[in-house]
Amino acid sequence: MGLKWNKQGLVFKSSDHTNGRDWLNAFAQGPATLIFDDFVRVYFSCRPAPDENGMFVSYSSFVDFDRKDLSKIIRVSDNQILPLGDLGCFDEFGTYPVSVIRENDQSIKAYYGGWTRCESVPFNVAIGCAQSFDNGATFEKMGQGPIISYSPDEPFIMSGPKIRKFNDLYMLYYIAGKKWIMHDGRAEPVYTIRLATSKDGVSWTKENRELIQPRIEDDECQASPDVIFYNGQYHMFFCYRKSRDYRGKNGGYRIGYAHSADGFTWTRNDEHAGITISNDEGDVDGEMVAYPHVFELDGQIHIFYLGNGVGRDGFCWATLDGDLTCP
Amino acid sequence: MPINMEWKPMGQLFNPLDHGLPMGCKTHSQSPQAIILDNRFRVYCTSRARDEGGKFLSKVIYVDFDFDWNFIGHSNGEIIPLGELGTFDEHGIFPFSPFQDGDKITAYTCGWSRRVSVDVETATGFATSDDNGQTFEKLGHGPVFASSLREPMLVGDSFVRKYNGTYHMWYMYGTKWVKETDNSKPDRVYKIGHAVSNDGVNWMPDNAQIIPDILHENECQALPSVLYDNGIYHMVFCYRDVFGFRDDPSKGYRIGYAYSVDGQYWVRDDDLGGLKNAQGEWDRDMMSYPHLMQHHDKIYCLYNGNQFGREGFGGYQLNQSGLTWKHNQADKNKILNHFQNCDEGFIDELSSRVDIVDYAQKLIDKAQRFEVWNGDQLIGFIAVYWNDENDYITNVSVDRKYQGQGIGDALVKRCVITSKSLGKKTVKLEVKNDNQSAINLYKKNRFECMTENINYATMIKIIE
Repeated sequence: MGLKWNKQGLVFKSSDHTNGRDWLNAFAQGPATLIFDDFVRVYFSCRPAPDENGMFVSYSSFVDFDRKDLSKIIRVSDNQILPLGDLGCFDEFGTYPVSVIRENDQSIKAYYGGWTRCESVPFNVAIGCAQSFDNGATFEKMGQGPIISYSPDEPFIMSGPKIRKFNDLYMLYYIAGKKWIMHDGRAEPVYTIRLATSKDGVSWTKENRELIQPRIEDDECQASPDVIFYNGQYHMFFCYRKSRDYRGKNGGYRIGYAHSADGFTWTRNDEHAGITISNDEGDVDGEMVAYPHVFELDGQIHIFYLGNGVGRDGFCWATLDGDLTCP
Repeated sequence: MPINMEWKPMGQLFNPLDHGLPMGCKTHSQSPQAIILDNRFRVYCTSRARDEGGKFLSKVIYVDFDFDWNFIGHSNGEIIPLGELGTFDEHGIFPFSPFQDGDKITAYTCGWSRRVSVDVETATGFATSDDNGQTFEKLGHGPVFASSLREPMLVGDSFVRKYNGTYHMWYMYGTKWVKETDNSKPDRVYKIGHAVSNDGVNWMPDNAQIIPDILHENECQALPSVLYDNGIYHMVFCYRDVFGFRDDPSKGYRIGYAYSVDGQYWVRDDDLGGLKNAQGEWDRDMMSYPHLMQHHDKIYCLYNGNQFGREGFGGYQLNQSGLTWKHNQADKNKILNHFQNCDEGFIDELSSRVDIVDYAQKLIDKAQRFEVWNGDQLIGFIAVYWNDENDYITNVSVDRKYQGQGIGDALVKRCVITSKSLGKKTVKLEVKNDNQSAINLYKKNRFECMTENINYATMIKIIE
């Protein structure tokens, strides 16, 4: 059973927009929406061509779709919304992904993953915060360091922030690293979904527990905890994969689902997500479906998500058949 | 200043090159920090081994001394392991700061992990010992205190003590990495900060640089160590220039000093601290990583010498005979007795205006009192009322046997500079019109006459 989605294919194809944007050579990851009167702004993260050592950096920008027809792109920003961090800062090598929230009439806040490079493991990530006073076109960082710190049970890789506000309380759903494992000579991270709350969006209290119990294996990796409150219930769409041998169709990202009455305690039911890889391996989502973002627009529920190569070609779109219900 | 701290040299106490250390460690015993056990000082420090790639790994050892500072022995095994793959303390723990929290023994670690665009990142971990300081177990795999919004990198060197039920941490935080030239490796800039906690684990930083720079904006400050004694918080720390500090002794680490009456707002005065002179060859080029400790009534400062403690640590003992500063320590009787010992007629004049006993009590209840003592004798005294922005000095008095030594001047300066550290705008006082020597003293300290009546002038100093 589960939800039924009508896939619409790639709604944003990176290669269509590289002209004049050397920072957008490929990828469009972590889509996050901000609804305006006439358009839907979707923030995403992308990459310039890799450097001589094959290393990437990641920038964030946005694309605006016609509110009445999401297949129509109105504009793609000519700029990144945030600069990379200074030498030695937590976000020196990337800002990805981004999640935004309207704070009040004047300001919009963005929470983003900041990336740095390490010696014994390839990277570390921490969560930063930036503010926009021009209706979400450009953002200024609130400080040079992360808005929420590592802690004894969240030792590294705090990333994938999704900011929400329910009942006057800011809820930050994110992932935190558990351990690094060596597999086939490569360091692979294991990370799971977490939650912190705040009254002001600046000082955070961590729940300090995993929200979603691992299902496919002990070292299951979870990402993109995307929560929507709809029909009196909290629904989370997220993605998960194995921590070893996951590059490719087997073991690669799939989209999972959980529901909650309060946003804090969750019951997992992946089958209910109802969206999986295409039968045709040649399709853009033939090997994986990942990084879901579910939103409601004028009475219709939509999902943006990533296909093969974790959004290497752009991001995909599907519409929900019927209502968003619990299992 | 006649009341600088004086220290008696103890010499070099430990040289790692003279011993066979455990865990492949060969050189260095950095940042000596002690706990006091039943019959010994246990001094933890960090020594160095090399990994397969030839890079340094900093590991914790301890060295035991009897209470006369004779060497007893050193650790032989692992005290606390380095972190696992990808953790904040994977590549080293330095420094290691033990803390005797009631009857618990805990420690705050500074964990190192290597980066690519810059050398490293650091953060503070927390660990507990259940075997009297032989080994320590970490709390989780991650830090208890790390980079945050306004302290963006290189949080570490945490030193924790508990006062009046609240845990206080003094630590260092990085403000930036800079390159001397385009081709240089990046160098760090870091400053000293302060944070508080109710449980020793969850910390709220002040988000302020608490020790002002002496050299320039890129001065590097590290290893704060604080001791509370007789109403004063004493801090020693080390400071250096941002570039050239490894090879040029004039740019390398020196020991700085600051004092505070509340642990939060500090007055820096490296000269007053008096820890400027090397003792021998071993610390001739560098004095670094200082640590204040007290045992019964003896106060020591341990520190590292050349090459960041490559060849060990030594110490100084505070000379507590002679003139010393205290704060809010004198009781009513001591104050009254002191007034008796000031100028002839001082106490008569005072009693013609106030009830002396009540006045002494009022000072204790409402004023801040900066005191100079000689042994157990109060000989210099200044009492000031702290108001929101405008402080009021109500009494300045020096025992007549100690006048002419600059003690009055030192008292006024200390009082004013403390008001300045607290962000006050002015300091005021009243002085008798015919008390020329007092008026001269205040004028020398840039007080100006504000108003005058028949007997008294009000003088005011605007604090810049």
